[in-house]
Amino acid sequence: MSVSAKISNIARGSLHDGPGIRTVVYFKGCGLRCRWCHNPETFSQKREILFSPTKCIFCGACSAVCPEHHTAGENAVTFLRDGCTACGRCADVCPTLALSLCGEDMDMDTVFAAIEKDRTYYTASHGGVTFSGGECLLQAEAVADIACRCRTLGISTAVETALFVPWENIEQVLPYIDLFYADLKIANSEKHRQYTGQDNALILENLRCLSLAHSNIIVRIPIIPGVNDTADDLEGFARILRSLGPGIRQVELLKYNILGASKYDAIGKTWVRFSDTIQSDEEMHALCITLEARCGLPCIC
Amino acid sequence: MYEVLKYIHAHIGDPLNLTQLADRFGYSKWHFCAKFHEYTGRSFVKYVRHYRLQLAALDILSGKTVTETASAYGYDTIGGFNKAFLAQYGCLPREYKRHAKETQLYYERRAHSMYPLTDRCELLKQLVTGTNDYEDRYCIQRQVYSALGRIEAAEKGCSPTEITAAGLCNVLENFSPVILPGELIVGFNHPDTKYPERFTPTDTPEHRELAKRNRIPEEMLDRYFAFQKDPALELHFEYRKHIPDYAHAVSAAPTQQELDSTEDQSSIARNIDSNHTVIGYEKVLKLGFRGLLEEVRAYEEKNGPCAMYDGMKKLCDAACQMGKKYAAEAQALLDLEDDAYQTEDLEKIIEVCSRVPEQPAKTFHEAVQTLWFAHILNTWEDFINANSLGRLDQILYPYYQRDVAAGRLTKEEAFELICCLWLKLYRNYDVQQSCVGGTAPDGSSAVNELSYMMLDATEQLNIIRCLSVRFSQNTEKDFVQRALEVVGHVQKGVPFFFNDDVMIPALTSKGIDMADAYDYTQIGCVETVIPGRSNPHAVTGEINVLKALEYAMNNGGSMMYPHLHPGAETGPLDHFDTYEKFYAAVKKQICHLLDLTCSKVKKYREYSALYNPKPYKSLLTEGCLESGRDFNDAGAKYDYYQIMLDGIPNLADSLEVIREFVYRQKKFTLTELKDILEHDYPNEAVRLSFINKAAKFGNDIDSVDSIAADLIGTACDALDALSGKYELSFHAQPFTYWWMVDRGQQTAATPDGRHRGEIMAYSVSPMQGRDFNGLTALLNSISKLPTTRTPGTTSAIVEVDPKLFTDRNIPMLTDILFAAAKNGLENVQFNTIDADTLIDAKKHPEKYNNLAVRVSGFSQKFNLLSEDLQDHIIGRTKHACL
Repeated sequence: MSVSAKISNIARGSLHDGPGIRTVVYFKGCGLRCRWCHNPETFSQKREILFSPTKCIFCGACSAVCPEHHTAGENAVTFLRDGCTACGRCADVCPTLALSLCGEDMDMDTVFAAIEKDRTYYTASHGGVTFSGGECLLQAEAVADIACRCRTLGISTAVETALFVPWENIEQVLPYIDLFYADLKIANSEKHRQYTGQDNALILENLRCLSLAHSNIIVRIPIIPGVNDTADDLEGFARILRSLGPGIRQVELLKYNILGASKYDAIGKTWVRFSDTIQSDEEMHALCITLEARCGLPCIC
Repeated sequence: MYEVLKYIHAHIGDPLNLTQLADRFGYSKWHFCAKFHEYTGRSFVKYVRHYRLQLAALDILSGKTVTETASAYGYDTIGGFNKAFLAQYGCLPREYKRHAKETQLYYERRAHSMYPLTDRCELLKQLVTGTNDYEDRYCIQRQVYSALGRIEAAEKGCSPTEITAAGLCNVLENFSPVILPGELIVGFNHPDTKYPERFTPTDTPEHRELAKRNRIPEEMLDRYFAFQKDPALELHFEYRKHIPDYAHAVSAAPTQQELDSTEDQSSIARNIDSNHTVIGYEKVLKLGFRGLLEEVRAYEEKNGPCAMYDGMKKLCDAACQMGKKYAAEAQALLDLEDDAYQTEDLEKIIEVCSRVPEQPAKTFHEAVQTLWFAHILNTWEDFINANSLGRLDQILYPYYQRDVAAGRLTKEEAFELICCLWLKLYRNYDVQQSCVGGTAPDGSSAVNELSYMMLDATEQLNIIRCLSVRFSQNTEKDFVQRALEVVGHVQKGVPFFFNDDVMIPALTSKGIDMADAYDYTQIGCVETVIPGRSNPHAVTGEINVLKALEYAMNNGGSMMYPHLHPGAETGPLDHFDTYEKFYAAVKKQICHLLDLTCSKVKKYREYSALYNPKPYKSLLTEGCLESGRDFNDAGAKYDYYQIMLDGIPNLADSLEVIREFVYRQKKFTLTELKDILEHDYPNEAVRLSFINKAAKFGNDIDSVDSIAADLIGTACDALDALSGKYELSFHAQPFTYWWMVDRGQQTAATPDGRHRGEIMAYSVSPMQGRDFNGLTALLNSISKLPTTRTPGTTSAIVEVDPKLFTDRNIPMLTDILFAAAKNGLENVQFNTIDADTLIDAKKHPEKYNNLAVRVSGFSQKFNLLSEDLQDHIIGRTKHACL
């Protein structure tokens, strides 16, 4: 019997989640609630109904199968999320994909079949598969299972993680992963709790262990305007980075992005905008230079 | 500023200082900066840094250590060097070296053209692409002289071959040569208009003025107009039937009788197959028209005289004079001219044109000039349109090699000559295809220096220029990557890519010799031809497979035109109790349509053999001289007909919907479905569920992809059978040209959610907006088609964001292309999207599901972006396009 996991999406042909051409598997569920997250549909590990009212044509198919949670009028439609068990009947009948089910259980055979389809492309480009999320390492058993299969076939593997998981989970996948993208969000623990819901003690501990246990790690820092872009913040990052083992290959600064806005609507949550503008290349570059000087690791943006 | 750059390049190892440099060249600092930026598009500091790192990268590749290189280019610390390197190349120097070694991608070396555009070419480009009133730029000499020549011959009672030859000879005799300032390659310029050849002057003051500018003698013009005005039009109409150009017009429009027998014109069409050739220009280069004349005489002696040989002899004779006329014109200009710069050019023109095209070409310059003359003659015989040039890098390489070896020609001069030829070919609707790259019969790569140079010329000139690239798994990655860079830099979707590993087996499966198959090239858009050895009858027949579905649901009747019954009788709907039975009916309709179109082609072939001879094309096509039969009378070594298939992706999607909703879920009966389609989806929810709740072609989903593959396979089988029935060779070509618009308009609603009259999918690209699984999935779907059976090419356009084509991503795109080719991809064209599309995408998101845009460090589907971000990107795209 194959392992199964909650998967929110499998995206093929990505050029930006590691070297070469990659398939990205998004696992659902995360222990953090970063307020800027652009994948909010992966917060909860439970199945969820995503609802995009703009796509709705008011056909009433949903209210016909589930009058408890859906009401449809001439030109209006409402979806009552409370008490919804995400059984998916409404998504089944919705002709427009305004309603869709996110986070179905997928067994790893299916996931692997999807990954395998692009094997020629991985070989040609030194690409492979990237496990992302949410926090993919919350479902470490599944990741280990599939990463092991990929390795057997020579498909390179990468993980994108915030490391807010028990160390055992990381250990479980460690032998099968070629590249770790480890997120570092905020250096100050209290501030970390304020913006992500959790303090960063576990994360830092895991990062330290990982930097000793694995040799190919890229640390990623999302720069959120007004949250973690002050000199103090940078100094904090530098201090952490200096204390790490030899496995860190590079530090990557990510620009703030507002991509998730429409997704918050779709899961019935409120989106917070941190900045009206996106950093310019020059600003990012300046941060890069500062951080690099202080932490001694190559920084890119 | 050029001097400044030269200075910088010469002193790149020294510390360079802006103030000193500005002083040195007599600018103020501010002015210098502004000028510099204007000229190079970069600031001084960035330019110097970029150039230094470029050189540094080369040094590192050549084996120097990082430390050594860093200090050589003025970096005090390795850290600083690494960082700058990282910023430019996205990786550290040592990784760069490793990666380059691993993949053999020394791409930065070639990421930009090796040769700058010369002033001469800049000037010519402005002349050629200038914005003059287009009618001013018409050259009507060919129309007038050709018609006069043909009428004269027709009046004498000559045969159609002689009439065609007489028309062409008359143009050659009377045309007046024009040499533009700065030209190196001379000859007739085709103006910047879509169909100059279809322009017919009438007796108006404006056109008389135009004729005067064209230096057409008044008495000739009077005769031409008199002919036009002759009241005995009926009589002249009879003439016209014997004048091939007019014959085209006549044959293109179906007669009433034909209309009656075709009933539903929308399901099959028989198009004109002329002006789609690549003939043996190489032969003119090798023999010259004098040599060709000898050859014709030899065959005449052997086979006995005939009208075709007569016509050819006259043609060769007249063509011998072509160069001489230009030499004389140049001499006349020289006598007037006292500018030394011009003098040199004119002397060169005299030297070249007094030899070619009469004599064999000896030098590269002569070869290019001969090629252009030979091409002009071809376009004078019928239209310019899609008469194409073939594998230019292969044809010209021996001449280039010899000249360079002998020290007669520098590479820069060769590049300039290529640019001149490119400018000669320029038209704003250009399907004069040429091809670079490819594989040699021994499996090695045929890419040579000229292949690169032609890509460079395409990039540097940045004009519309129809160019394709042939590649196989054996082709240098570097070359394909360079071609993709050109796609990215030029943003016009050229070059296109053809996979030799699929094309060559496809051609040999149709009985084409292996050695000839290796020489294939393209005409016009994507039609396949063996240059100088075939008459490919491109775009001859066409069927609309969506009509097959319409007829299967209607027992042979048309839904769009209910009074018509053009299909086969496949039985009433209630007979189809299984999907397989229904599918069999659709296939039967497809075979029926193919039979109809092939029978038309057969009739047209008989007509064409009698009334549409092509002596010039015959002269340069293997088989015609030998057999004494015309190009259009099956004289060519390979004579085949390409039958186009429209709507394959839509039909596959439709059948998948029928299988899912009618036979699996049983939500509708076929009769109910027919009702829905006849009323063009009265319920939008039904239409959307058909779109969203069944698999669609283009997403790497086997169930529906296999239908598309099977449909093409069915058509191939049917065409094989019909080849026997009509004793003609038919090649399947799942290609729509732009008729997916017309055919779509003539087709009722289809179960794939397509509205009545809506445009159907282009060729085998997925229906617009129905692929959402990314580029690799799309390419996989297309690769599953039986591409080795369709030498007519399964054409696909892939729409990509221009920002995907950055120098960082190009190596990966190259990998994608090679991998897709390995999977069986036949042809792909990249359409980089412009702002207008994005604006439309914003208005009609449902049509653009697959459109992904690069937002900053990542890409995202356009539809998923919030409105202001969409606006942002639209704004940015516009900016990027300027």
